[in-house]
Amino acid sequence: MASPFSRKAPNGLAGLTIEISQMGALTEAQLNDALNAFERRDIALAQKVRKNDERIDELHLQIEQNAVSILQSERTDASALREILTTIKIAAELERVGDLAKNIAKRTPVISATPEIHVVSGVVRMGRRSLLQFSDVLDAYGSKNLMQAEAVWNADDEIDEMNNVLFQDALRAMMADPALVTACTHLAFVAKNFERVGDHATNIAECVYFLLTGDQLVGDRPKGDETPTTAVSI
Amino acid sequence: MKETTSSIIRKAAQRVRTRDYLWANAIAAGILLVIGVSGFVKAWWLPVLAWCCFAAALLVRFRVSASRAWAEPVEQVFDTEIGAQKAEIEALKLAHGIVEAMPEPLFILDVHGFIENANPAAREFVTSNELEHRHFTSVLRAPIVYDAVNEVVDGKATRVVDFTITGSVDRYCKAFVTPLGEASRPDRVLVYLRDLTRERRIEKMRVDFIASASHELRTPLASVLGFIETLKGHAKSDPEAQEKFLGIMQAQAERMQRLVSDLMSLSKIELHEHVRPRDTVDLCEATNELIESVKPITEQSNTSIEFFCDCGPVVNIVADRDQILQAVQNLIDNATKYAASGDRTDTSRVEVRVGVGEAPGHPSKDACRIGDTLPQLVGRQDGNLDAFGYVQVRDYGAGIPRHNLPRLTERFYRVNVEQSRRTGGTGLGLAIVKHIMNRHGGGLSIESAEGEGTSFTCYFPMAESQAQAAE
Repeated sequence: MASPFSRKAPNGLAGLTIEISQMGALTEAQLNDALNAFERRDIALAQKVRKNDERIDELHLQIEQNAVSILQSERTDASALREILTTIKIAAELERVGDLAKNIAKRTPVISATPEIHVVSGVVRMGRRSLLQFSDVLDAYGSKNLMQAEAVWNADDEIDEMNNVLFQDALRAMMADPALVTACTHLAFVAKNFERVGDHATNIAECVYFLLTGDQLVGDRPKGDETPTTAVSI
Repeated sequence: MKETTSSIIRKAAQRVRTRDYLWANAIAAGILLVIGVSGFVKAWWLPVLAWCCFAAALLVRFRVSASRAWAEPVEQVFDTEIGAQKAEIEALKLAHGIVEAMPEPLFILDVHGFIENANPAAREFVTSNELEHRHFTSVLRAPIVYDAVNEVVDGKATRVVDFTITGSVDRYCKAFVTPLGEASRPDRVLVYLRDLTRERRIEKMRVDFIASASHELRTPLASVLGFIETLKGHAKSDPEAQEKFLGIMQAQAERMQRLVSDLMSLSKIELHEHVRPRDTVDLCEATNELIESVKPITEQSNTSIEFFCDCGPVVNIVADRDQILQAVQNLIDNATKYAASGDRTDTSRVEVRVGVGEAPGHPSKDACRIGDTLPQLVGRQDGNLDAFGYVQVRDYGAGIPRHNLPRLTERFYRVNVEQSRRTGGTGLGLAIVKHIMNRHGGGLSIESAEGEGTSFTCYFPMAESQAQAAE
């Protein structure tokens, strides 16, 4: 067994990979906490999520700086260059997902003050689905699993579909009872945030695909967001 | 090693002594030659004789002294050294054996967070076989644990943290992070995980059970109580009304019974959802047997069930046989109900298919899908498409409206509440199927098009032996 001190602290590309997986883990935990806080109406947990977002931002900055310094100091070959570029892109996506988690946490206290309606459980289910997509794509990146990345890319339509249904439900609930307008508006935004998380997961899947093959993931990605054109008549 | 060492020592000793012997002889010869030449001794043969005696004596000494005497002390030193080493190796082996035998995940990390050692439980926990020399964060996404590792490396005492691993089945764990070696400046960190999913699930199960029971049992109970009041009151002497009310009460009581038994089995499945089954079941044989047993019932409702085996006669999956039968039975029950709901007037038809790999998709281009796709499942298992078997239940009924699909596996969700009540549904059937699939590391995929029926597909990971044969 090699002495632990014989190994130098990882830097360069290896260090960057560790930092990005740390950032991924942190973002996933934030999203999970935000979802749990929303589900259980746990305002203290929501507060924690809002505070912890700083760490993701810090890591994002650190990753960007390290990537730039690697590009400046080392002669990088094509594959390493690809890896660094992917890292920068994924870090940006993760940062956005962190912001979405924070936004959900921000809305949680407002929603917690409103009566519980059936739309909430739908939003929670959708949140779980998008979290699963996000976890899957992080797994795909960590284990360099091309098939899993493609599967994530292809499965986003389900979240879109859930969002469509929830949007309609929210509209109907609002029309039925104007007292629910506050709750439903915020719920629609939370659902939209989860839908965006799903989109970021597909973006990361595209990055993983590019990292592993050098090609862009092209073709028709199943898309199903219909909320911009949805209207419910009385 | 001991043999070679002692023979090396012996050979070296022999070389040195041979040289010494030759030198001694040469020196003696020189001295005697000087004595002979100086004329101090008259007889020339005397020095020669003396030299011969000297040489012979030395030779005897050379022969008699075994080189063993030389090797022995050295060998002794070696023996103690090797003994000490052996004991140390034994101790290490014991420690390693204990680590390996621990039923709960154990990681040993170096100060930079790279994994030096992980036991089989750990490998199973993160479903990866190559853990050594990988960084901890790339193996387990638990930032809270990694923060604790960093704190311990910086000289903090043992830390205990709770964390959750998200996925198709959430897992709740506790991590004990302990320094190994000097506490203020450890050279390694031990991470010991305890899976508390079961405990958390029991807790959640109780809450869910009470919530669902009170929510769903209230209506039928109220109705039964209402009828009892009527029977005691103004229907007291009306046998016709009594007959009718008792019939309704029986139906309601039966519904409650079904509800309770469904709730019980759902709770039982949920409790073990994070524990994979280990038995091997032939999906073809099990499905076939089930179909034979439900045929008499479905024939009464004018539904014919057709069974297709899309591949070889045996599809071995890793499964819990009773649960598989329950899942397929629930799907067939559903399909039979839906098949009858279509506009067709002829005998309705339900198809059941068993096969390997990707199941046939819904033929309609308007079909909507919900649930896990096969590539998603395969991706999570790190296998290939042929490592999954499927059973698909397809009906040709009215289909499920698109906006109802996402909520389909929610408990107590019914697309058509009235129809469900009439046909004796509890609203738990698909929820049960979904949880069974989760437990098996598989997935449920639902495709439907309005007017063209619905197909429900369950994907199961195959038993290893057959998955390899398929490759």
